[in-house]
Amino acid sequence: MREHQQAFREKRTSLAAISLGDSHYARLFQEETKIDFPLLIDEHRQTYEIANLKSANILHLLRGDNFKSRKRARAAGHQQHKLGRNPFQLGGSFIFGPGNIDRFAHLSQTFGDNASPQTLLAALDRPFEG
Amino acid sequence: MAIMPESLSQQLAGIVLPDAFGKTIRLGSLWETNPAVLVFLRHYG
Repeated sequence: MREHQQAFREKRTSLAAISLGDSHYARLFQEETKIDFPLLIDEHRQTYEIANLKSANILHLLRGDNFKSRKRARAAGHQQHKLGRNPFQLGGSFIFGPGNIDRFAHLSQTFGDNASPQTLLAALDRPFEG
Repeated sequence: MAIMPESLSQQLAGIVLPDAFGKTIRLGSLWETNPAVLVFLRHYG
């Protein structure tokens, strides 16, 4: 996302991330990655529950797509640090608009199943048909 | 009269979360005037 931040800015779209981790790891992550959009912390998993985000299980670790995702992340220079209290929690990506309009939703089905920045940028280009 | 279900953004809008440095942000403020991409991660790092 960091690499595409300018493209989102050009579409007058702000970025924010939410994680379950603690502030110590969030600070380290922010300093390491030089991300300048908000990294929010939801220690109590409240927003994950509201968004109905799924949890994986140990079998997901054996899936071929997970293996490929880990390989891709390593090749891109990403390292996995501490996993935290909910190692099987899955993520998701959403686009919300003024007036509390839901414009896009992607709920991860397994580890590494993320909406790409290109997908998100394309979703911003689509006219909203609420 | 039928009650419209709240959108997800509406359900999240009032929630206030701290950032990495302890500053709090109300989620709805992120998309109040322009769209916002909100990414839920498994963990940082």
